[in-house]
Amino acid sequence: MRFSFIHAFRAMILLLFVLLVGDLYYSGELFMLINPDYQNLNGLAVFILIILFLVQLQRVWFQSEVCGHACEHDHAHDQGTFNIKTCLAYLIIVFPIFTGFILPFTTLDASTAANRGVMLSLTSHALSAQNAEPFYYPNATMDDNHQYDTPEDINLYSNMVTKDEYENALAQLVEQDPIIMTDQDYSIYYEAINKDMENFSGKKITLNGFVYKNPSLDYNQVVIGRFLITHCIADASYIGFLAELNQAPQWSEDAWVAVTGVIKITEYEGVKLPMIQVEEWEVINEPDQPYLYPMHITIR
Amino acid sequence: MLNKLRGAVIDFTGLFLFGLAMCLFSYKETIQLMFQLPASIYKMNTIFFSILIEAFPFVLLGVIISGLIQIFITEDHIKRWIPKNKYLAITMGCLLGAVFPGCECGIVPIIRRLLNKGVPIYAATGFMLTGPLINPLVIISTYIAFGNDLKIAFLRMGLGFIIALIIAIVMSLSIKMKPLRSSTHKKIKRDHHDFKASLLTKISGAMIHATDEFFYMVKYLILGILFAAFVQTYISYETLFSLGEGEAVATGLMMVLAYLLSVCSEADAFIAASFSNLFPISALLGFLIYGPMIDLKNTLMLLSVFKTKFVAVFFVVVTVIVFSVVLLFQGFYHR
Repeated sequence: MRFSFIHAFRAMILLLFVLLVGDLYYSGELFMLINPDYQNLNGLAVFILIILFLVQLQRVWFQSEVCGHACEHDHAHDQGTFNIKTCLAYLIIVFPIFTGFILPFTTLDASTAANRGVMLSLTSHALSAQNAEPFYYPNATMDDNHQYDTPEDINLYSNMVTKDEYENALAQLVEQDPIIMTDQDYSIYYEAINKDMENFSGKKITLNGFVYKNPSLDYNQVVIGRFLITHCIADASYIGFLAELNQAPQWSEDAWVAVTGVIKITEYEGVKLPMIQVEEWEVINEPDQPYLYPMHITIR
Repeated sequence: MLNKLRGAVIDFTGLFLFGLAMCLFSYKETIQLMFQLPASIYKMNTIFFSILIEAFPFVLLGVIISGLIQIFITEDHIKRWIPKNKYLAITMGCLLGAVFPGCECGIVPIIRRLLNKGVPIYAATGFMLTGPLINPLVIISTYIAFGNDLKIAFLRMGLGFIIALIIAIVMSLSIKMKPLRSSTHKKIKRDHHDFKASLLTKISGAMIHATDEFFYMVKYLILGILFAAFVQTYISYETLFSLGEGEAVATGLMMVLAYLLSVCSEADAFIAASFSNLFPISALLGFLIYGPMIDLKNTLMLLSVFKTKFVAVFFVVVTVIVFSVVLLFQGFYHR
């Protein structure tokens, strides 16, 4: 019976990957990285890693005389032979374990939003009003105040609604005044308001988001918005509203604010945009769940 | 007796490794507080991890499937299943890829194994191109991203399929060399399996292959994601788009973006949708079709399997064909 250092090392790497992903899951940090809808896939990843670890463990001690199945597969990096290429390969593999270990995760902020072209995204969404067919509002099928069967902080777990709930939420939007942009409704309301801004002009709106500033805007204008995450934060897209108020210059970029104001239509580089004339505002802490998720509709 | 002892020693080793790992983890927070780096480093690390976590399940499933193929599918099976006719084989590869729910990084280990088992390169190319592009998850996410409109989703699938066919045919005509790296080629000759072994032995064999495959692939995946995270953190695509206007330029830029961002094909539709009113349909389709076929993180994985020359030719062929077909489509679309 002989001890194989390289196999022990590989078993350790697999185990550390298991713990790293498992730790993300239990500490809730996973939701700083991916849309919670996909957390089951991550469970699957951990499950497979555990299997691979258990299989790998069998190879740490091998019987030299009965060279079993395992031996044939030790290609390239055989026991003991440690050349530069192998070292480099393992350094790369250990790299994420190392950085995951020593570097805490952060939330995407205004500089990321800037990289992703905030103004491009805003004008693109607003342009949809000009070339799309009239926005479709379903007839309300439920009672006045739309309610979800699911708990209110649903966004922390999933943004799944039934088709009825979805249609009801949209139907409610037309009558709502003030419009309250909850985490759950934010993305569909955002789309509706952009597509049909004339209809919403003059209505009151309440929302929160973080501040983004752009030199091409007037001195008293900022963008207030949030990131929408489809799968992981690498695919985050920024959705937000232009906001105008005289105190805007004193807001610092990345500050989270809750604002209430009136929707107006303004022009930015020749494109009509919905804008919020802010009436009341306060600086708030970053919410526990800073990201938004697209609404998934269950088909029944 | 010896076996019992071996079992006990293995258990002990496992416990020891677990204890060691837990020890390391308990110091995590202390270490994190010990120093402060520029904010962009933390952001890059976060984006890096999010892509890694996103890709992990798909890559792990990929290596498991690859391991199972290695053990349960023989070269004879492949010979019987794949049509003799080259064009039929390509069509079959594309169709199988369309049915197979893959992802551009998870599919590479499967392709490697299939090629080792004697699947002709042209059929494998078709499979590799449609696997990540056409599957239910991608259709649904594209449908939702474009405001519950099926048009773009259908165009992505339909045009993507045609493009994949053309690319596979062009590749089969232009490449005469052996595409695999020699190191990967030699290895298969050594793997000789007893197909009469018990199911349990077979499965454990498959898992051992999967582990080896994981260690072989994961380093390329990590490097690729590292590049992608760098691009996402430090390069602004607002400046990218200030480079020019016009259909061809917009299409080219969106394809560059798709390549650099390396976003999973299940999630890229929302990025495309956020540009939907600024760019012509050719640019959106270019982004949606090119990204799943080739991107920064999967180029590195391809390089681990194929010769550099093959990857270079593949890259050029895919780029040219996607670009010209979507622009051609744009021409017809206007009329």
